[in-house]
Amino acid sequence: MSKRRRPTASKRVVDAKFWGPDEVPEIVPPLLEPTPDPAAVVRSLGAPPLAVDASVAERHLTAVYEEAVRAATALAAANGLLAPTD
Amino acid sequence: MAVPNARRRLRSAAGMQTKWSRALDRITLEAAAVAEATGYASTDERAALEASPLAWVGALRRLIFETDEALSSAARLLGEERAQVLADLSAERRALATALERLTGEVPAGTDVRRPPALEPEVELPAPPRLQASWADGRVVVWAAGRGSSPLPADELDSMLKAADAGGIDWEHHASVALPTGQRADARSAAIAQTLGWLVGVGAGQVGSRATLGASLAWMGEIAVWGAELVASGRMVPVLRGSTGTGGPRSGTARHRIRWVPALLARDRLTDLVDRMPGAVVALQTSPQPEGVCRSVLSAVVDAVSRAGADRLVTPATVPQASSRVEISEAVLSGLDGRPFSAEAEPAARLAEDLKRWAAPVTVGTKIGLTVRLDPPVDDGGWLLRVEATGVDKGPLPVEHALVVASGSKSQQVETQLRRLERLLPVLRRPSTRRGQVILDAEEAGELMFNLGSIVAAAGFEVLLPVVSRRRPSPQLRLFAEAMGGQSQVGVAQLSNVRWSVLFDDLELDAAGIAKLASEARPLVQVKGRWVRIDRADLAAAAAALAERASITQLAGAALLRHAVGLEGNALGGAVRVEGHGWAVDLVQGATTHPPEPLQAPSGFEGHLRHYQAEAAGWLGFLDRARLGGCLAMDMGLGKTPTLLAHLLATRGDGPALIVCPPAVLSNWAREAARFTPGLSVALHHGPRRADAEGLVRLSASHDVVLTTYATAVRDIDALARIDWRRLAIDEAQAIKNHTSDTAQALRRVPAQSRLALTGTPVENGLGDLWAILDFTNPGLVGGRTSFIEHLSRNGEGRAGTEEGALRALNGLLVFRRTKTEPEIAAELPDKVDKLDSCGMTAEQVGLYQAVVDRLLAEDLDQDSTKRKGQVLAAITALKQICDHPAAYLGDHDAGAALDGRSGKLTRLDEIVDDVFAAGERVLIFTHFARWGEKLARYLSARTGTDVGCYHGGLSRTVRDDLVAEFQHGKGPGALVLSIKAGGSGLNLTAARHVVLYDRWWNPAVEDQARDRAWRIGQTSTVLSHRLVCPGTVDERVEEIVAGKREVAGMVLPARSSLGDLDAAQLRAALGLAVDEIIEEESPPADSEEEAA
Repeated sequence: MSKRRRPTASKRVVDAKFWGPDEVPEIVPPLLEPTPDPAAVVRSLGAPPLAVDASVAERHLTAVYEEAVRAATALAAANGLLAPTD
Repeated sequence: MAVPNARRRLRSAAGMQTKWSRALDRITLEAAAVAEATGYASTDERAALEASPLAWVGALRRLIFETDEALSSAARLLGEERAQVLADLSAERRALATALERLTGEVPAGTDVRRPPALEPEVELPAPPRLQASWADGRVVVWAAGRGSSPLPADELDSMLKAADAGGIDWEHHASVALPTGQRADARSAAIAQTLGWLVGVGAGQVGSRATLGASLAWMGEIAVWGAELVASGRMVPVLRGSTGTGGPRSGTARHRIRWVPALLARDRLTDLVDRMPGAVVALQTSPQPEGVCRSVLSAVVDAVSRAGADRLVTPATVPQASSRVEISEAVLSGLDGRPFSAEAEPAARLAEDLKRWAAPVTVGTKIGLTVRLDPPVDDGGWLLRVEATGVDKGPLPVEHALVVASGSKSQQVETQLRRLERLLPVLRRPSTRRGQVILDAEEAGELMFNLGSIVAAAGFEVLLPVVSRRRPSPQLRLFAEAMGGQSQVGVAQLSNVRWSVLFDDLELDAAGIAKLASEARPLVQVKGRWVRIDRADLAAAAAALAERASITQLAGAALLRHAVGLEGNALGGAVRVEGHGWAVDLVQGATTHPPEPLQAPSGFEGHLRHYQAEAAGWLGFLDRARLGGCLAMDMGLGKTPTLLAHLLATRGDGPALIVCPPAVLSNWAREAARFTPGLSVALHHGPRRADAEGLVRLSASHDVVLTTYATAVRDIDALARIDWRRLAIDEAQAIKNHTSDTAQALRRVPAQSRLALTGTPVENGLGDLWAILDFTNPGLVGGRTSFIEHLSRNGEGRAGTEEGALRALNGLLVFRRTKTEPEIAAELPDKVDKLDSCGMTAEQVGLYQAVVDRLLAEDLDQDSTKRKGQVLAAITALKQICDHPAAYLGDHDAGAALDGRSGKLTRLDEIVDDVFAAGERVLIFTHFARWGEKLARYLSARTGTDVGCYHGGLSRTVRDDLVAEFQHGKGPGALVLSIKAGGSGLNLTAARHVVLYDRWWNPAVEDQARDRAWRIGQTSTVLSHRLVCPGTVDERVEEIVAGKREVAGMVLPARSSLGDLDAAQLRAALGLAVDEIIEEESPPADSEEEAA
């Protein structure tokens, strides 16, 4: 009989931790509901500490948030991740 | 087996006295120990073991260890022997362990010997190479390998990426990835921004296949989806990063850039992803920190998506190098797309710190949470909005209380979060007795429930609001009727007291309720347990509708019915819901909520009523009881005739019924009555020898049913009007669609307790047709033509939608509509329905026919039987042509003459084509005569406005193929005329649902073949076949011959030679006109469409 030791349990754990499951479990991705108010979170923080007119900063940030949400929405829509609307 | 092996070892060792004796002793001892453990030890072996108990135990321990090793090796075996080897070794191991336990009480650790072999260590088969992803220096690194299998070389990796829809990414060479086995996998890398779409696709399960995606790549896909979700929710904030870091003021200039970081991360989701992160993700990290890597990947995704959005904006230029705080602030706003900019390090670092602190409430995790609650008003009070804090105590606390009882830092966090909330819900800043608690009016509450709630939730607060419905409730007028007491009159004239209200779904509002709601800025009401906003325009319309009807407190039954089916119109549109009690209410509810029971086939009915026919007959009984008329509007081929006959049989004895129909179906009615209801006595009132007025009275008194044609009815209208008919039914009721026509006007004079109209196409040209039919069946009930059309026109989009909408509104009450396309009806229909249509002869046809017969008999018929037969057959052909149409016989002599009005068959064909086209379907028309077919096609083209082709043998193959293709692929109504010789076989014309056999052929097989052009594989609908025949002519003789042959010999041709042997008298009998049987074709109605307008 061979005296060579079989892979140890710790080795197997390391393997499993490295590779993860051989068969990737099917995960149902969440459906995205784009916010109707893209800048709500940033607005909740109050005016940013920028040395510019607060209204200018808010307008600019709001525009960027709207475009960012639009980009994320397009990304989600292209991959069937948008929740159906009412 | 282990035991024989041990024995062999024992035997081979016996007697050996060599330098290996010590070793042999050990082998001998182990063999003896195995033999003893498995019950096969000899006396000597047992004695030897007992003499050395310590050695025995030692041997057992060694054996158990070795067996465990062997089991591990065997578990990796493949093939059939694996199970057997595992079973043997496990049995040996169990035996050894039992022996050891017996000797020492010791239970060996390790392999569970009690487990059955099937549960022994599983074979760890190598996993095939899959696409894996690692994270390194902000880039996605991909490679292909699997546990226990060799990694794929670069070219195969590229192929795999291509197959996984990642071929379009500009992958760069990357240093190979070290695997746990020491092997190295070739790798490619790309910036996260480039891989974003693909990674989200992986996370969404939209790209690649699960068989090719490794766990590490799938994990990264999940992160990408989460990142997109965060940005779509606006959950990200900009922070300023410099090449000198954010560690504090430095001197000089440095490159800086905005980086977008995730906000309001869900801790549970992060923990879950960290726990599930495969090590392969961090294969390139020197000191991997799973949570750090997880946050890093997520931040990179959020940054990339946010920058992509910001990049779409045009931003103002800034100074090349920002020095002051103002310049740096401007550079920050201009650089939200992530473009780096140069800035003085010290002020930039200060601004970076300030931005970090500003964003901290949403970037730094906290256990403090705020909950927003809204309670509906009680007793006309306001809506109570209150804020609670969680994470301060065991349960939620009112936020004001939490601010007091929380410790210093927690109190500060509550304050910070509350300020955030107040910025989103400024109403919370309103002066109030308690902070975080205010009373809202309906408008504010509606705004919170319908708009702000989701925004506040997206900003990281828990929001508990009353359930709302975003669906706009449609207002509907409700009419509650109570029949007036002491009224003896029941029916359309019965008066009822009525009360009006408006329903918004299940919420009933009277005028006062509407006025109260209308006074509110944003009216909120609770409908079916959900709060809904009522549109102010709807409220105004409802108020107007009620105001209009404020003075209508009594209505007659007829008016109630009109309201119920939407014929009275109202500003809210649609029908009025009629409730209460009384004749009209019972009627409406009987037609809608409690439809009449289907009629069981009455005693004496020979046949089976399909379920929809039984329902239709039940509805006819309902009309009878209500003393109403109605329109039986089942599609062609659904059996209107047997349905009415079943009803007439079920009500037999309560008075005579008059059925008026086109001449072509008169015989069919008689045949169907004889077939389905032989117990009904049926009289035909038609032809020159029909009864006079007195005779008609006697006829009606002695028969259950009198059948007549439209033209005869008009001629004998005075006589018919003298009789009290229990029922008057008009078949093919589109004949009266022109309500001003003589026919329509005359038939209205016929007195009948109930009038029925039968038609498959109740709306041929518009809703005016339907009005004409319903106004005939229930004079005056449906109101005027104009208002009827106006009110019912609102029931659908487009003409077809309007018509079907109108029929739906009236269905079950004044109309019984069923179509072949309804699945439950289609399932019950036979594959094909054959109908025989008896057609009339015009005076021109009769004259020509008689002339041909006379000429044949006047000629000296050849004595030679063959020639004589030729003469007879030529005459038969001429007669058949005349039956088709005089133009078919006259040929060029008739060139230029109009076709309509000269042939009973053509008139019938027109009716069929009208019905088919009205249903948007397609029809094949077969004729024996190709030239006549061409004329017919031209005629139909002109009449229908649709190009109708003629398929015959004189056309080239290409033209014929084109005709077939056009017909098969055409949409909507269509027709194709075919020569029965050329088109009767081999073609596939399943686009047609209708077949007309315009003239008869000797061989029934030829007719069947023709019909089967439409009924064959690929046909999904019932095929309705019409055979047109002129009774009393050679046309019918053919039918007789055909019918006879069909019963006798199926496909055998008649013995035509016998015709040549007939003498003149016999020929006259065979070919001549049977005057009594001819259906005299009635003159076309004098009235035109214009008159109806």
